Amino acid sequence: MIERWGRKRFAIGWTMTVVIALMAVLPPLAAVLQAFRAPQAEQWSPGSFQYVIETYGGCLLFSLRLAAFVALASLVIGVPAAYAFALHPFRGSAAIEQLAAVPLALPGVSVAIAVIVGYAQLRGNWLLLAGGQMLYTVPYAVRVVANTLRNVPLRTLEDVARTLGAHGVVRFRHVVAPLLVRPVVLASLIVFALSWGEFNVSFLLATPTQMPIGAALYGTYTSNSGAVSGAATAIFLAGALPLLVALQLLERRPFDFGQGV
Amino acid sequence: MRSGEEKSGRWTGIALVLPLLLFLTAMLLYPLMRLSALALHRGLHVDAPMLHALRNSIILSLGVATVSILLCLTPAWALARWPWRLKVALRSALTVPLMFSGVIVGFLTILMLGRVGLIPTLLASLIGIPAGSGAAYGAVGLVVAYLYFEIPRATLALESAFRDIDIEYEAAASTLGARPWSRIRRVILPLTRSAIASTFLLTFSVSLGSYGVALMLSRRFTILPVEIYTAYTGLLDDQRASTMSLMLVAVALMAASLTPLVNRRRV
Repeated sequence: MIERWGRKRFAIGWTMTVVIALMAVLPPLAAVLQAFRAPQAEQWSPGSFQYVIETYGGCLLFSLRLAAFVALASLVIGVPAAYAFALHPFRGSAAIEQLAAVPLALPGVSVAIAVIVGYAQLRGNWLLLAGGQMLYTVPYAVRVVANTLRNVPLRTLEDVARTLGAHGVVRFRHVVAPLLVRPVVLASLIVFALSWGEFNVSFLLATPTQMPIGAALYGTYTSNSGAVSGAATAIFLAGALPLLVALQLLERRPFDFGQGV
Repeated sequence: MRSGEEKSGRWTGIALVLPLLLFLTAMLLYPLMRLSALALHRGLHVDAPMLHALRNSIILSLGVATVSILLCLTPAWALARWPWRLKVALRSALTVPLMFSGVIVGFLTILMLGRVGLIPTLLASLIGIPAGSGAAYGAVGLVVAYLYFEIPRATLALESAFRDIDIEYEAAASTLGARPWSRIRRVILPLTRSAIASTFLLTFSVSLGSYGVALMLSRRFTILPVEIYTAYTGLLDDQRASTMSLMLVAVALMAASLTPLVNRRRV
C-alpha cells in the first residue's frame, strides 16, 4: 500500500508542515527571550518586565475589565438570540442571524470610523470601544451556542419533559440550562481572548487613558527598546495563552480568531 | 393548541432576538448609514491616491491569499489525513500566529528581518553576509509578515474542510486503478474546490482589513486601511476617512458575498 511515491509524499508533506509550524513559533519565542536581555549591564534581567508593568499596568487592568465586560455583554445579547435561532425560528430570523455575522467580514478600521462618525458626541467613551469590539465577538457567541443547541434534539427533550409534567421554569432549569453550560463557557473564553488581543477596531476607538493592551502595544513598539517590547509581548502572551490552551482542551479543534485580531 | 403554542413561540423568538437586533442597529447599521451619508455628502470624492491605495490593498491581499493557499495545501492535507504523533503539537503551533494582531506581527518581522534582525545577524556570523538586513521595511518584509499569519490560518481552515471530505471516494478511485495525479485531478480537486475557494476568500478578507503590520513596517507602500488611519488621525479629515472606509467596506462585502456562492454545500 505504501509505495515509494507515497513515502516520499509523506516526507515532503510533513517537512513543509514542520517548517511552517517552526516559523510560526520561533519569532514570538525570540521576542520573549529578547525581553530578558538587559540594555547594558548583566544579561538576563527582569528589569524590562518591571518597566512594562509600571508603565502599562493601567492598560493591562483596563484590558481585563474591558474583556470581562465585553464577554458578559456578548453573552447577554448572544445567548438568548442563539436560543431563539435554534429553537424558536420565525420569519426573518435566518436573515438576522446572517446579519449578525456580517461584521466578521468587515475591516475593523472602517467599522471604527463608522462608529466614530455615527456617535461623534460620544467620542472617547469606552462604551464605543466595547461596542466596537462586540461587533466582532457577538457573532462567535451566537454561533457557538446556536450550533450546540442545533445538534441536540432539544425540542424533543423539552416535549418529553412537558408530557412528564414539567413546567416552563423546571424545564429550563433541568433540561435547557445544563445543555447551555458548555457552549457558554466556550463562548466566554473565545470572546475574552478576542477582546484581549483585538487591535483593528480598538486602535481608533481607544483613548490614551482607556487603551486596551492590544492597542497599547503599538505605542510600546514604536517608542521603546527591543527588550521592553519583548517584555510587553511576553505579558500579552501570558494573558492569551491560558485561554488558548483552555479552548483547545474544550473544543478539540483549532480556533481561528479571524478578522478582528 | 399546537398552533397557539407556535404563535406564542414566535413571539418568544422575537423577544429573545430583540437585544441582538437593537445592538446590530445601533453599532452596525446606524454607523454605516452615517458613514455613507458623510462620504456621499456633496458627491463621492475619490482621488488618485485613494485608488492607488485601494489597488495596492487588493493586489497585496490577492497575492498573499494565492501564495498562502498554494503553500498550505499539502500541510492541510497532511494534518487532516495522515497519522503522526506530533500532529497535535503542530496544530497548536499553527494557532499561535492567529492570536497576534498586526502590530505584533510587524514587531516580530522587525525583530527577525530588521536592520539588526536575528536572521541577518545569524547569517552574518555563518556566511559573513548579513543577508536580509532591513528587509522588514520593504515590500518583501510586508509580504513575509502577512504570510506569517495567513499561512497558518489557511492551513487550519482548509484542514477542517479536508477532514469533512469522505475518504472513500479516493479509496474507490484508487482501487479502480486511478494514478495519483488523475486521482488528485478527478476526485480530490472537485471535492475540495469549494473549501479551497472559501479559504481563499477568508485569507483575502483578513489581509484586506489588516493594518497593524503596514503601520509598523512600511508607509511607502500605501494600503487603504493605513490611509484611513492617516486621514483620520493625521489630517483630521473625517470625510476623506469615511470615503475610503466606504470603499474598503464595499470591497469586503463583495468578497463576502462570493463566499455563499463558492460554498453552497456547507452551512
